Amino acid sequence: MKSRSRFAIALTLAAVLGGWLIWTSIGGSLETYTSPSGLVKTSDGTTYRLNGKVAPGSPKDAAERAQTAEGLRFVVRDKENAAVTVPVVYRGNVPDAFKDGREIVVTGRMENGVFQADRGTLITLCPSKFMEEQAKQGKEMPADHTSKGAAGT
Amino acid sequence: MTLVGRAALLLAFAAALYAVGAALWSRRKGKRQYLASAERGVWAVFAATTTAIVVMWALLLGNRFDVADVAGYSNTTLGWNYKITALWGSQAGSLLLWMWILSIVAVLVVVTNRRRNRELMPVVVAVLMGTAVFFTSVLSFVTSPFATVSPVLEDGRGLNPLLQNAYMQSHPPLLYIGYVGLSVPFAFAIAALVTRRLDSMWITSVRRWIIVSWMFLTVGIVLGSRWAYEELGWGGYWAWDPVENAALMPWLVATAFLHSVMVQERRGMLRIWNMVLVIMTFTLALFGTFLTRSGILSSVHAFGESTLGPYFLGFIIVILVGSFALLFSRMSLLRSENSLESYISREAVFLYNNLLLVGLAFAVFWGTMFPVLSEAVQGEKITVGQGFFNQVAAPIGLALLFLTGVGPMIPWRKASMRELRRRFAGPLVVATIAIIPAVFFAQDGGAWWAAAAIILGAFTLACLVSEFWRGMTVRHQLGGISWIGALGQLFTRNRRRYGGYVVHVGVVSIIVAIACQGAFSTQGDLALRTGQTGEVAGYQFTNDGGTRSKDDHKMSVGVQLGVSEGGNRFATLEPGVDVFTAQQQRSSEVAVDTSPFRDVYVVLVGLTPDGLARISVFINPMMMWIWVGGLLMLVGSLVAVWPSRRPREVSVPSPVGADGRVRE
Repeated sequence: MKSRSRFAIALTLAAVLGGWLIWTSIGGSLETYTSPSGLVKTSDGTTYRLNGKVAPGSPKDAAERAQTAEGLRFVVRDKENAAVTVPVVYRGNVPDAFKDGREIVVTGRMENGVFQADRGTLITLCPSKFMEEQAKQGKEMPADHTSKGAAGT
Repeated sequence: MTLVGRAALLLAFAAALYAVGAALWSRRKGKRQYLASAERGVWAVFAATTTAIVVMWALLLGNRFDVADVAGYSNTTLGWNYKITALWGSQAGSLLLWMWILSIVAVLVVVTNRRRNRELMPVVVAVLMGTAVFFTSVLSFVTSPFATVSPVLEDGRGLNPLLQNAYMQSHPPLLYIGYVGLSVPFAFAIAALVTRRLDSMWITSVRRWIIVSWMFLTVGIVLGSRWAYEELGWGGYWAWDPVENAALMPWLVATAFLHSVMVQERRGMLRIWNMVLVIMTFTLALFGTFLTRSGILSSVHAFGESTLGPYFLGFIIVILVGSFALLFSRMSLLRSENSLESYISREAVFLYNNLLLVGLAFAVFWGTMFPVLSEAVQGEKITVGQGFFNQVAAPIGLALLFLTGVGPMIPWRKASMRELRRRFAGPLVVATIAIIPAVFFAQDGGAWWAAAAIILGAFTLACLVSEFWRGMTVRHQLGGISWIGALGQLFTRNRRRYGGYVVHVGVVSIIVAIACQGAFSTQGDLALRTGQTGEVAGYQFTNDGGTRSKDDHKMSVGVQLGVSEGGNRFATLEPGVDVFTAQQQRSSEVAVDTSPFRDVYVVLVGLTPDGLARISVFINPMMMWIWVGGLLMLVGSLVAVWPSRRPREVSVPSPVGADGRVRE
């Protein structure tokens, strides 16, 4: 019985240690996932992961601009309500799939009405349900579902 | 044609259903002959699924754009080899591939167990074919690869340029073989539970399946990272994206299982734990597919919200509840035959390794599912950044690295202090010597994780070398064989053990490389006109002029970059960008100069008409060793599973003694 209780203590210790590791690590990395309509437009310093679509009129040389000091400026609009938009400033690597109408996720904070994105956080998402979209729009949409990351199919 | 395909899938569905029924029926008294019938049903499923996949390939090769998945993922200008692999570009197509692999695996199980495991086979067949029933029903009734569209497009939309490379041709099928292969150990475990034959026989029967599936998963994951590194142009190879995690979780648990089965074989311990692991592994493999297909998480890879989610979730819940209920009802039969005698013994080290691997899998699961959970609980979708994953994975990875070296050196049951001192003296000396360079490198930037990885890596490598040395000395002295002959004999006589050590060397290589890349990689952006030179991290880059070309599909720009260090020009890199005109899709062609110590990785961001080239430079130390490590893991697994020439244990009905322990 003695070895069993010792084993239980060891296991509990391992669990506590693991829990503590997870707890301390998770604290600093939480980001709220939101859309332009869900963004609180105040500069309260909350880190958001902003999800929406690139509004028409984004620069053709997006990747180059993102390298300049001024950064890449584009507008993200809400997926559901196209009228709600938010301007974004971004610097860093721009995925190849970035262009008008593409769904993106970018991490950052609101500052004076502009979404200041963290460096290198821009991710593009695949167009979902492409067949329906295609049928609706009656035109071709590029088939892709990848941009940054790995091990996907 | 599409009709033939649909009919074949329905036939596969019916045959799988029949096989489940016949297999279960054969467990009744006097109905033994139905097992043979069920096994013929397995063949029928294989034949029908093969027909379906061949039809699908014929449609792809024949440019039948009335079929949705052909129109969506292929076009007339696509090369024939990409037309074939465009199959797994689409959701239904990849499920068809999954199903086809499952049917092949099921046939292999039937063929290899014609004379073995006859008591287990009814349930094994039922479990495998039950899975087949699920997949064929999804393919027939929910998302068919043979769905047609109207109006018919004149030309397809083509395959995403990012998927047009050898990595994406091979990576999905490799991962799927790994996933599907894991269904075999699961099926045997369930069979052992149902039939109450809970000795180690089921484990002996599936040992090879476990290693082979694990090997395919490993290679699949490494190739996926390699693809991300070479094709996506962001200088990294892993981003803790949900889909990457989906592949990593079953791999972690399968790795734990791979080790803990050895404890059961040798000592008859951890028997319940092994059942839990095998159930979790298979469930996580299904969960991985669910994650990628359901769209519950926003991933850069997901195919978007589809109707598949609820079906997969339902199937996973059925598997989980059913398996654990069964396990619970057999709990009393799964008593451990031995208890842990010492906390410093081989079995204890395996236990620690298991706790760490499963703990890491749990943390990854937690981090991946956090947005879903937080939305359910708080109504707010909160995501977990990469920082979380890195912080958790770093200490656990280092602890695992340590155990990789220590584990094989510690004897079973109990280790005496004297023995330990003798065995670890050498490796400890090596580790102490490694402290000097490690601390020297880590000083700038305070990269203590990397320093620890280097020290532990040196220690573990020394452990592994000394294990080889020990084996070779014995054979050299006792057998009077040459040193090389002795090394060869180690591999031929004890494949699993020494193959495993080669895998461990690969693990050391990968973990140390990951730590160094994470700690010491540098990035810099340059804007250079023709003839100008810029510097990043001590390397000079000279713009030798740009190139532009244009053909029917794409516009390409490129730039010639001379790379030098300290005035010595050692490479000319030519990064470029292709813009595919039809889809207005950019595709970066990165250029990499690889050496054992670092990769110089260059991306062309843009080239203006007046010759200003903007480039991103990444200096990634030790990158090469990630791929070398992957290769070593493949080679080691192959050594471990390669059939020995001596017929060993194969024809013997059971290698298990009366006490349930394997005799060696």
